[in-house]
Amino acid sequence: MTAPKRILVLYCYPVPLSKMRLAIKQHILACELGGTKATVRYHNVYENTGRLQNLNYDAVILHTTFLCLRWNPSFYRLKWELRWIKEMSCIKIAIPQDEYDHSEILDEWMYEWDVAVVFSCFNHLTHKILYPLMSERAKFFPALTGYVDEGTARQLQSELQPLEPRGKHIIYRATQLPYWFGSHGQLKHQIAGIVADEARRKGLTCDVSTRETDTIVGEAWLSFMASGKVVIGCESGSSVLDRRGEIQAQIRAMLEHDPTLTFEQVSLRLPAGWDSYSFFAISPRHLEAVITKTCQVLVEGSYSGILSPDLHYIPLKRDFSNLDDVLEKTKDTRLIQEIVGRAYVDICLNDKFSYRAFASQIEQAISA
Amino acid sequence: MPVKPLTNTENPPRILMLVPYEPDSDPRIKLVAQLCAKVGRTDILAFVCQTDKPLREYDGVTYTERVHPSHFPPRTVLLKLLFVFHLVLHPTECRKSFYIIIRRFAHRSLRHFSWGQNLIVFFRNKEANWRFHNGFPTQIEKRVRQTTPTESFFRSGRTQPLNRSKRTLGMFYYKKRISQTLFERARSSSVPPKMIICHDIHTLRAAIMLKDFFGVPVIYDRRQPTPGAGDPIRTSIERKWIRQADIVITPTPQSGRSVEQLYGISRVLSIPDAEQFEGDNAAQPAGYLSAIQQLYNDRIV
Repeated sequence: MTAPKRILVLYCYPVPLSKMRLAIKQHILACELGGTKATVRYHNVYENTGRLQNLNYDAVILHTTFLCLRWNPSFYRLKWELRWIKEMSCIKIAIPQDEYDHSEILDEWMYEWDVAVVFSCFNHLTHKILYPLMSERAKFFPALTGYVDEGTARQLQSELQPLEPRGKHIIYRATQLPYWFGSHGQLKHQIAGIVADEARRKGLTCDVSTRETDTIVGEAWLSFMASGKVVIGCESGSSVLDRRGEIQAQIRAMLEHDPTLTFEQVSLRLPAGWDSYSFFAISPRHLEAVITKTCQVLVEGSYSGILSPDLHYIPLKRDFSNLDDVLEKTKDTRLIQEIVGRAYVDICLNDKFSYRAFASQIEQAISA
Repeated sequence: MPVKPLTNTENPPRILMLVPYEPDSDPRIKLVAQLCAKVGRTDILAFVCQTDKPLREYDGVTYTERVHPSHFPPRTVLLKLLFVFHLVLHPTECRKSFYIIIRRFAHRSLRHFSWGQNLIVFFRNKEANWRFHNGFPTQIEKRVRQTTPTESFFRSGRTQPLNRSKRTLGMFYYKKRISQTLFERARSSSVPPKMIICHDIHTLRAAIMLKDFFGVPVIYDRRQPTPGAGDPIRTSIERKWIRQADIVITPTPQSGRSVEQLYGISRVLSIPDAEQFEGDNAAQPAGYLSAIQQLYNDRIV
């Protein structure tokens, strides 16, 4: 009998696991939630960048939050402090997200540290653009930004209210993203204002906010998701490829000079085509809506091939031209119950989208 | 020998340029960057304390990064002491609560996001009010308490020139800060450079340290027209490092000869300043380009 594998998960987060956003916490604990037999150790480099005493591991997982260090202004200093990770001889696995942001820096970083496996949120067609160095060198596995935690889903079933008595009709939370996420980033908060205004005009109750102070973290997030009949949204991602942070730097410099500039004004001053990429993927909140049996009204998109329009969500056109029809559809309880039920069976009860599947993919990558 | 332009995918190594001031303020930097771009990917690291320019610019071939010293704060004595304390106590499995508390304190203090952040804020505020010329402080923004509290409570925007003693102290402080900041930034580059070009004396130390670190050739683009003319500090600094540069470039043949005589070195090229390259003299940078190509290609083998 072989000894269980030892895995070191490196993450970087300013708060302890108990106070994290649920999706991030679950993603960090993916191996454990997936029921892996490996011994997993978690290390938060936010607390200490120093070398660990025991570096005897079979694999190191560079978590999304750890790889987010690449857009920290002190990134190069921190990378130098963390060079002991580079020296580890075991297999290194990277699970990046927001790969379009500082993509070249991420690519070079993984190249330097000899990362062997990359779990990418985007398909192989984008790998040449996002990873010019690593696309030739590493093994790529497809990954989602989040998965269904079967334990949480089971536990929720006993507590969930049916759709009919839920007090709020439309719910939504999002933060106002900066301009360097492009027009798609703007869509995430524009949808809040446009849909909420129209819904209120039609007499529907809404709990929609893009204010930082209204952010919901921890276990309360799922309760919020389960408090409404319908949740609105769009794909996560960006329409900008910011290779080394140069787009962000340019926009910051413009706004420092004139903070009143609108997105359109900023866009005109940037090179043509800066906002023409499509790095879109399904977000963890779409899966959370499925497990809380909340109907989704989503801007049309591919949703990583998981959600299909009219089957798993009510599609909303990108220019909001069918908003009236969509809001009418949300009043049809039978229709939204059908959509919710179908999404639950196809996604939540499908092993493919569970943390178990993700953990087994990681184990497979380690063994390969 | 014709050199094929390199892309990031084909050949990641690149040319590294170290600049001690705002790169856009000097046409020669622009010219050298253009020459380097003909050879391969070029990274320009510029030490900049104040700028209204974007901190990063990138066109796919030339990448410019304005490095602020606050991103590489110097380690204070306290941090070093805590680190020693941490090293001493960490290996021991001490159960006594006192030592556990002390150890925890050491751990917490070493957190880069707590201590480092404070240091960053401290230096940002301190250095934001200086005016620079050629990387050295020449003026300081006068902080005057306003009679009525406004948004700019302590900043009146008035400037005053630094006196001689402050300027001298500033020179010593910034000489170290420039070279240390650029060295720390460059040494942690993910893709090691194939060649380093340092502009002016302030980056020479960093370039030579990087030469030892990466084992790559260094071109020293020297600006001061006549060496040793009433500037013994500069001469002594230069003497210490200049011999390790692979090629020294001077703006005039006279200064080139002076450098050769003063420091006893032979590999000196004289390339006129960028302003003279316009019009009929557009082909002049060929000498510079061939020097870059020569060193770059030697390393390819």
